[in-house]
Amino acid sequence: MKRLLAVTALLVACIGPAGAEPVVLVSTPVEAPRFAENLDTGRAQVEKELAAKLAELTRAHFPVFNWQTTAGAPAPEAQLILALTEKQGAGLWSDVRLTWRARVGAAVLDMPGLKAIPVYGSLEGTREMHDPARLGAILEAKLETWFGEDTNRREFSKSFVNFVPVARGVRVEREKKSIALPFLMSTAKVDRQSRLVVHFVANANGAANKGVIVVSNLFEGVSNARPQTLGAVSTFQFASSDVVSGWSPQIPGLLQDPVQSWLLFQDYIFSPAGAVTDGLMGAP
Amino acid sequence: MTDATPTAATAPSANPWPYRLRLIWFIALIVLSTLWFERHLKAFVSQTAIIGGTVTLFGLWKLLLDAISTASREGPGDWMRRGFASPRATEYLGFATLLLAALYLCTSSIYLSYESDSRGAGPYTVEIWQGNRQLRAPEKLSSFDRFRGQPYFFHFGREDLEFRITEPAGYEPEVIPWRAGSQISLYVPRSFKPKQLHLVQIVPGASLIQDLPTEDKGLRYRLDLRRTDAKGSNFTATVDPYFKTVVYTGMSREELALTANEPARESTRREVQRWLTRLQVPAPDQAPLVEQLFAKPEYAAIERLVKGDQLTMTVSTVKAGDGVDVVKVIAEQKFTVSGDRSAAHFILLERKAGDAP
Repeated sequence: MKRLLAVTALLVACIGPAGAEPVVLVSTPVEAPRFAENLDTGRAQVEKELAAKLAELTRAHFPVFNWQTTAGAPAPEAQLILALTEKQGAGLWSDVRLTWRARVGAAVLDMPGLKAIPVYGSLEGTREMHDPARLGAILEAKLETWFGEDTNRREFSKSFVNFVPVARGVRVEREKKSIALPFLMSTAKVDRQSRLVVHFVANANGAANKGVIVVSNLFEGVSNARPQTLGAVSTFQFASSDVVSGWSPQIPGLLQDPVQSWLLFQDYIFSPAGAVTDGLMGAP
Repeated sequence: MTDATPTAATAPSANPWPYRLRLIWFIALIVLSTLWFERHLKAFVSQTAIIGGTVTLFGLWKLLLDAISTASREGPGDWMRRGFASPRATEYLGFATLLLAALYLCTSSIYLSYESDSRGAGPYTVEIWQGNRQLRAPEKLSSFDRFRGQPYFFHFGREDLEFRITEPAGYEPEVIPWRAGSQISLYVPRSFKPKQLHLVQIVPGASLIQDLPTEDKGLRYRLDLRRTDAKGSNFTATVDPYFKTVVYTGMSREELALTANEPARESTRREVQRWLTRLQVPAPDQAPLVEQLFAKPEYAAIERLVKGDQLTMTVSTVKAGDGVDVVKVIAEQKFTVSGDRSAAHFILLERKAGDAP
């Protein structure tokens, strides 16, 4: 508790953000051919409104990223696509779903665990596919319900959030034997029980060597007058060496320049104020 | 010469022919008046045939007796013989003849009788048009209310009356000349020629039903109907915008209003439900779809279809372009009327093969 108060006092004293959250670009294209055709000019309205809703929900549950609906600077770390698709179902008509797709950087992210959100079953004969306002409301309600369930948010975190770099250029606090993460827990609403993984490529004697450091026990701190999140090393593995538990004196050397490092969540736990929660994923 | 000698009044006439001729004249008048009553007043004066027939038979009986000379032996109590033998009888008979002739010349009548081969068919509503006005209020006839009509006195001249069965639809109108002394008697509906009515019920099929909107939102659809007859002449009608609904066509607006009535719509509804059941759509999922289809049926009037006519149904999407609508045909089906009897035709309108959006 004392430590928490001290950190808070330091944060108040420090001015300036730890760094802008990485941008995730969200889009919700209407790909189902019948819907796309029948919405006609209303298609853009549905896509825009649904994307805004998706950005709103993801922002509310995963504020660690800057969820945007339009591309701009800085370049997005990832792209999340929730497409309205249709697939021939068991009945007379097609199953209409909201299907997840994603890209991290240039690579397509495979998300087998993230199931599509059903919109219309293959037996449902009455479908709204003409009125953009009504269809938008239906889809938004489906999305809201989906994000309202803890299991869905966990799966979303596991399938997507964990693969998007939260930060790059991770540093080491040698004296504190901690990893300095360039984001603020309170701003990103990250619970201290969350776990993160630092991936790095070190230049060891002219050769690129990869390693991972699992970071836990997060707390906010200030280093070099810059607010940031500090974390203890839970495990460390360099190249093909054995897993080392806790801090290793090797770590500072490995994360010296020039080195590439990026931070991913292993277990994201939402906290409205960066405090310890009951462990539920995301906001209620 | 004191013998009782019959007086002139009571004595049998030496010449029986005046009596006989007047009796025949009387019988003829009775027969003709009975016929007049039967033709023009049967709805109001019943049993005229019995009374007239009885009197006629009695007259014939007297004539027969006279012929075999039995009557000539009758005494002075034969009032009938006395009456018809009297020269005054000619005066009365002459007056009666003039009166009857006047009645024949000045009276006409119109009567409608229910007569149907179908048990319990009807009721039938019949309108009688005299030019562009109705002669009388529409008459309703049924199996329990079988007779309507009235005599018309002092109707002179000749004009055509048009008799129309307005309900149920399906009968051609009958045009009958109406003149003084005529009697028009029509059997409903037997006297009317059945009309050839082909009620075409167009229902969007499985490949189209999802696409059609229920209101004016999104992509606009249009249904064009073209009737081509044996001579090649065309008649077109357009349903624009074309919503997710049943379209009734195949005849004029008035005929549609009567033919595509509630029982007809109920029949279409059952047909749609059977179709959806064949497609294995569960009943709970059928209900909202059927409700949409019948929320606001469309009635597209065209010239009446008859045997040999072809109806071409074309569905297009219409997108607003730069000042000009972009029309894309997505479905085209043809239907040829093969039978010459009135019928309802259920047509499922499907997209053209390979024209999925």
